[in-house]
Amino acid sequence: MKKTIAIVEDEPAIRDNYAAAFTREGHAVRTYASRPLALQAFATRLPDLVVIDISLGDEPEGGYDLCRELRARSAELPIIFLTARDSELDAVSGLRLGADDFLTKDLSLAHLLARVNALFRRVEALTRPADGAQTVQRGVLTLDGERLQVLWQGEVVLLSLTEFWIVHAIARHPGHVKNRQQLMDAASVVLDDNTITSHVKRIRRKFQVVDPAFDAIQTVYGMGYRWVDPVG
Amino acid sequence: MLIRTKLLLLGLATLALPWAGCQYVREIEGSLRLAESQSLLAVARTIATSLRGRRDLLFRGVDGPRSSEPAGPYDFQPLPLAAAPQLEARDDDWPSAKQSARRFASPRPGEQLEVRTATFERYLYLLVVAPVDRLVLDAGDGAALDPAASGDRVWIAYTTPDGQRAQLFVSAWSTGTVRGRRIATRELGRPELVEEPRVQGAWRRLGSSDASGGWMLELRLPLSMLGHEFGVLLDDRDARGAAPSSYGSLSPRELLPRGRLIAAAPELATYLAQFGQPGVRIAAATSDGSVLAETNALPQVADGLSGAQALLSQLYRRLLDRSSLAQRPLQTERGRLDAQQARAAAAGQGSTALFGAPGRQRLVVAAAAPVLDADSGRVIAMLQVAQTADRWLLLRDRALTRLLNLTLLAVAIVIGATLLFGARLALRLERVRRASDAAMSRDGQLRTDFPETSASDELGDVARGFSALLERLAEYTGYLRTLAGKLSHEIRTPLTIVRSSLENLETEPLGENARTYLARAREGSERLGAIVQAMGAATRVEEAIRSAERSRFDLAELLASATRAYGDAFPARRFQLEGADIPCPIFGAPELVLQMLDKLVDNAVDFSPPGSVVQLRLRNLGGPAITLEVENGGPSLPPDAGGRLFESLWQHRRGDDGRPHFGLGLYIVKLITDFHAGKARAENLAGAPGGVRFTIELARNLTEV
Repeated sequence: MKKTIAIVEDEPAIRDNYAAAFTREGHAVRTYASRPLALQAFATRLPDLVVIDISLGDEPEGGYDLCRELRARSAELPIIFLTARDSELDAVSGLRLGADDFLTKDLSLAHLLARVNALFRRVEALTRPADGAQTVQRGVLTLDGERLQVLWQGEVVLLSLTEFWIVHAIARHPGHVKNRQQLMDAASVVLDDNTITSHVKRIRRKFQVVDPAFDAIQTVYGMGYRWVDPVG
Repeated sequence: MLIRTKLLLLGLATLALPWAGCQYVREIEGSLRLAESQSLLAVARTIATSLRGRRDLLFRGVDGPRSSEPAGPYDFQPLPLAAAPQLEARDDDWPSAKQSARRFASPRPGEQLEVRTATFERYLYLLVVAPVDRLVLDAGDGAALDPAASGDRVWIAYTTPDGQRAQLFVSAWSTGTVRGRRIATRELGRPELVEEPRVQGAWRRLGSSDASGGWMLELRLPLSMLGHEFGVLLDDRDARGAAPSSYGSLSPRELLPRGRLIAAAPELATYLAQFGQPGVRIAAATSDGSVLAETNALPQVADGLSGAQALLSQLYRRLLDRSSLAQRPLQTERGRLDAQQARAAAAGQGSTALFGAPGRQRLVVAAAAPVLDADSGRVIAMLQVAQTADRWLLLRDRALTRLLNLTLLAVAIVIGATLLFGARLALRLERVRRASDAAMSRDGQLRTDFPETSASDELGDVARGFSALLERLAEYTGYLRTLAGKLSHEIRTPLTIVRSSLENLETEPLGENARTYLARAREGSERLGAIVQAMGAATRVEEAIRSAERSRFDLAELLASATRAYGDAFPARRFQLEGADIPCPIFGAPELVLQMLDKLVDNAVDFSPPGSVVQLRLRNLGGPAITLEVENGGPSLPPDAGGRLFESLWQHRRGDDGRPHFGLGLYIVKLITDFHAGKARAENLAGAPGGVRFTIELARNLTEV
């Protein structure tokens, strides 16, 4: 069955390029240039996945509002934020709007498609009972590669897709230092040092919401990060 | 020249004020003086008119027109004396002025007789000096009439006030006190010597012996016995009884006077005295200026200003009015009127003049008027009235002193105010200057707070202009600083369009050539992406700093770990680390410190030749700051780079390593150093291999700063 992807983007060239790529992948694509147009369309039927640009025409933060309204209507709808600014990445992440991923527009189309597919897989996996086939269990950490979920001490840590892939890359081989390039490859993003750093920081904080004593991700200065299994 | 100095000079210009005041006072004084002189001249003319034609009142004896003629060689003009001389035949109590002396030549060459006359009160004094003659004494008192017994003899002939002729003589029978004698004719024509007790005197030898040195005779005669004719004759003998050689102002044979005694009539002094007033001197003189009589009531002691005031006025007068000090004295020669006034009076003119009293800081104003003959209108005498000018002087000095005190006070106030104003202005200018100097700090930051902008004067305008300029400049530099970040953001959207289009294009069926071009376009867009990344680096660091979290971490461990990583990342350089053996805990943002270190090492690697050593050094000396050094063996910094090295968008790179550079690396170092309340500097290494050392000071405990 064809998945329907909605693209809300005010720049027609980018919008059409993305639409072409998704169509090529076999998805049905609907595009909207502004928040009111998108909302109007979503009122009758929700798509299967939404890609939203944060600044929409004359609404610099129209994307946020749209995301909030969509999340209010559906908790499961996968939402991907696209931004032209690195700074927005930080800001949005802090807002906890319930988006599934935050990406800069530098991202290549291939990577974007990979994410979209991953999110679709996750939605499917969530509807099925867990079979544990792609699940990695490491002490109190559970990595669910199918549902793209992380559990710490049995509780779900709400990570974005990028964050999940970073944790996944570090935690699969404990003690091994993963440098920034490796993390970027794993997460299929091109990020500068600061952004990686803030991603890792944010991941630690999210774990600390569940377990304030969380200290499993270590910084190896000048090299990268490594996973250290908690003692006992 | 400093503004203060200029204003001081301007203030000094107010010194023209007292000068103008002095001129004014002088003018006032001048007109006062003129008025006083004129009134004095009027007094002189009045007295002179009252004496018009009154020869009898002026001169002793009356002999017609001759009495008022100028003095001839045989005329005696006795000098009025201030004190009576002692009759001792000495000239030391006589005035040194010799104009009253008459000299008569001896028939023998080289010898002469000098006769000086003077008056004091009612007496005529006579000093006869024969300097080279030898004194020959009479033989004895009784033999005075015997020609054979006669020695040197002085004859005096005169007319009595009632016109009778008379002679008397003084013979030298001894030195010391002498008396006059006359020869009276007794019955049978026998001559007889009669003592004249009214004529007294003294005779004295001048030399050590009779033979040389001459002699001096001093005599006193009451003026009441004298008329207007008078003469003196010396019978000079070489030996007792010898034939005399006679010379003098008498005819030798008849012993008649050839000249006159030009002296005031006895009533003249009394007459003048009735016009006398305190502080006024009235003098009557002959037509050639010899004083006949005077009443002198000029005060002898100045009773002017006293104490400090006098001292002050003296000072002012010395400074401003030298004329009153430079006046000639009223009497240059004793017994003579001022020559200029005398000349004017002789010509029939009245005149006034200003004189200085000798030795005193005072002035005398004198008016002289001629006394005319009743019939012919000739000048027969002159009259001088003198008065001290102290009254104006006092007036002027008081005015001057007050004026000068007031104006000097005003000048002092003006200069003081000017100086104060100048100092304040200079201070304000200095503040503005200092502010403009400090407006741009070493690290390129602009300070827009500017002093004096609230002032309402022109300086305030300048300061406001400066301030506005600085604000605009700050906006501009701020814009420049954020330009790279903004540009990177703006370029990103079109870049995304290009990229996504290229990626879509790749999926289309393309020819061989098209693939090549597509690959080139991809490569170009990748590079463009790297440039955009680099341009936004500083902005991202600024954002990272804003959201940075501080924690306690070990700088030594971070350095050690990072140095290992650099060794892997840059195999063509050797990295050495010093001072990281001991843990060095600091409070800060480790990610930022690491990023700073990255930039420093990047910089060091870029500038050092392959195979060289990059030296890292941690200095933890226990103070509040920790020093971090990164040294490379690359070329030295240009001399002017020191301050600008850490500025945004400043670079001095040569060559091209294929990576985009925007001069942001060291700016990021500075941003992070600032965040850690530290300092960054760069210096060239001394010594042979050279190189550059970057020194970073970080606060150990950021919370403390």
